[in-house]
Amino acid sequence: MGQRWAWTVLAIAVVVLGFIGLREYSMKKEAELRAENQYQRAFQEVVYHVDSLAEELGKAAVSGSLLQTQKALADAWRHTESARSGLGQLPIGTIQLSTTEDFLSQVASFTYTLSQRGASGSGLSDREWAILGDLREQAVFAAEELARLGGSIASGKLRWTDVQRESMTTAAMRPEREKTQGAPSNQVTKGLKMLEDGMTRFPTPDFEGVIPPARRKLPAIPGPTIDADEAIKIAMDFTGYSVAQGAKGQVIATISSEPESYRVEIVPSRGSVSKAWVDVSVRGGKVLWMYVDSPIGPESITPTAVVNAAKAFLADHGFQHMRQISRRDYQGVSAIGFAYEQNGVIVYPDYVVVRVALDDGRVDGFEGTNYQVFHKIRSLKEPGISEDEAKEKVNPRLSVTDSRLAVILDDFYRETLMYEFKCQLGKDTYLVYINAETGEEEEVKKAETTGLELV
Amino acid sequence: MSDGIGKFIAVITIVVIVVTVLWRVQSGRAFGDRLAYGKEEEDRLSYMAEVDLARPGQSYSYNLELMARVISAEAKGEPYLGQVAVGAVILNRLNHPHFPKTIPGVIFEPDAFTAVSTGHVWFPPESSSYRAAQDALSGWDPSGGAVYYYNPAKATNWWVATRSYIIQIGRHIFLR
Repeated sequence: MGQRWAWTVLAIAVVVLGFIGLREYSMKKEAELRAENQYQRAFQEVVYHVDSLAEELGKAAVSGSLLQTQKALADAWRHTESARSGLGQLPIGTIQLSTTEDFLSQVASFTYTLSQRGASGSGLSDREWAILGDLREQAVFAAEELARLGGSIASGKLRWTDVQRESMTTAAMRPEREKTQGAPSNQVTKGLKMLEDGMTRFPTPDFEGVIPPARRKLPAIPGPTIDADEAIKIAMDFTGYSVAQGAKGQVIATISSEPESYRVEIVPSRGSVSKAWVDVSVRGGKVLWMYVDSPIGPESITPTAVVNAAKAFLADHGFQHMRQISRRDYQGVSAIGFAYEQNGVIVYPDYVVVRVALDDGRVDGFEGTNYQVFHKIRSLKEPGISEDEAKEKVNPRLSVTDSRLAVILDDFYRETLMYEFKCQLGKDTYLVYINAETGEEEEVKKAETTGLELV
Repeated sequence: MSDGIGKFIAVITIVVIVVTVLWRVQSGRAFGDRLAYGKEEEDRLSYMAEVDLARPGQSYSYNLELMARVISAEAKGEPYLGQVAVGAVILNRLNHPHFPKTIPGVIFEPDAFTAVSTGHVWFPPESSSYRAAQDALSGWDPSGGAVYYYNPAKATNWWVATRSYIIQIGRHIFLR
C-alpha cells in the first residue's frame, strides 16, 4: 500500500515538473522569437536605408537644380541616420565594423552640411562633387553586400539569435583567452566581416574643411611642460589644502588624453574620509578640473549666497570678468556655469562650471577644461550690423526679452560673433543667434528649462 | 488491484487539470491578458525601445534616470569618481561615430552594458548615482574622454587589447 502511494507521488511529481518545464520552454521560445523578429526587422531596415542612401547620393550628384540636389542630400542624410540607428539595434557588439560606421558617420556629416546651405547657398564645388561620387560608390558597394547577406539570411537557416549567442560567448571571454579567437563561425558574422573588409579597401575622401572632423582634438594649452611635483603644488594651491595642516598629495596617474594631464589625489588630513582629485595639464600647468568628495549635509544657505560663493571662488583663483550663464541644482549641490566676458561680449568657449555644496556654501567642484584650452584675450571686431538691425531678423512672433553680443564656437573650432536674443513664445524660451557680420540667423536653440536655469 | 489503478488514474487526471489551470492563470491567459506586474514591465521596455530622444538635452529627466540606473548597476561600490566616469563614458559615446546618437540608443545597444543585458539596470538605483549622472551632464569627465571601460577581474571583451588605455579608477579600466 505504502509503495503504491510512493509511486503515485512520484508520478504526480513527474507530471508537474513536466508541465513546468514545458511552460518554461514555450515561454523561452516565445521570447527568443520576439527578439529574432526585432533583429530581422532592424537588419532589413539597415539594408533598405543603405540602398536608398546610394540612390539619393546618385540623384544629388546628377540633379541640375540646386533645390533638388539639396532635397536629395537631406533624404540621404535621413537614410544614413536611420541605417546607423538600425545597426545600433543589432547584436553585433563584438564584430568590428568601425570602417563601415565611420563611413556612415562621414556621409551623415557631409550630406547634412551640404543640405543645410539654404536657398542662398551655392551649388556643389568640384571637390564636393568628387567626394559625393566617391561616397556613392562606397554606398553602392555596402548596399550590395548587405543585400547579399540579407538574401542568405532569408533563404538559409540563419538566425540573429545565434549571432547574439555567439556574441555573448565572445564577450564573456577573458582577455588572456582572446588568442583562441578563431575565424567567424556563422554566415552573418562572415558576411559582415566581408562588408567591413571591402569598405576598408576604399580610400577615405579628403574631407578637410568640408565637414568637421569626427573626432575633434582639443587644441593644446600653450606653456612649458611641468613635472609631477609642480602638479601637486598647483593642485594643493588650487584646493586650498596645505601640507602644513597635514594634507598629502600624490600623482596617481598621467592621462594621455587631450589635453594631457596629471591626476593628483589629495587626502586633506590623516584618516580623513574625504578626498580630492585635481587634473592638472602637463603643458602649462593649468587646473582642468577639481573634485572634492566629502559628505554633503542638509541645505542651509540662501540662493544668492550660493552664487556669491562661486563668484568669490573664481575671483580667488584668478578667473576675472566671469559672468554667470546657467545654474543647475541637484542632490544638495548647485552647478553654476560662468563664461568669460570681454567688454560686454559673452565668450562662450571660455566656460567653467563651479559646484557649490548647499549645506555650507563651500566650493567642492570645478570644471574648466574649455576655459583653460580656449581662453585668450580676443581682438573683437566691431559688429557689422547694429543690434536693432539684427533684431529685425528675429521672427516677429517671438517676444525678445534680452539680448547681448556673444562669441560662439562652431564644430570646426571657429569663433563667430553673434547677437544672442533671448526670446519668449508662450511658456517656451528660445535663444536666437544672428550673425553680427552678415545678419544671417545661424541658430535657434530651445532653452531646456527642466533642471537648468539660464541666467 | 484494478481498483488501485482506477484511483491512480483519477489522481493523475485531477493533478493534470489543476496544473493546467494554474499554468493558464499564472501566465495570465485565463484573464485574457498578462498580470499587472508583467504588463507594466513589458510596456515600459517597449516604450524605452521606441522613444526617440534626439539630444541629451531633450527629455532631461528620463535620460537622467536612465544614466543613474546604469551608473548604479555598473559601478556599485566604486569610488564616486568612478561613478561619474561611467556617466561620462555614456556621454562620450554620443559624440563618437561608432555609437548611437541618443542616450537610450547608447544604453540599449545590444551587449553594450552588462547591467542592461542582465537586467540589473532595473533594480532601484543608489541615490549617489543621480548626483554622479548630473555631474557628468554638467561637464566633469574623470575618464579622460574614454568610450570603453571594463573590469579586468571579470569577463571582458576580447577586443579590449586593441584599445588604448587611459586610466584605472577603482576596479574599472577606461579605454579610448
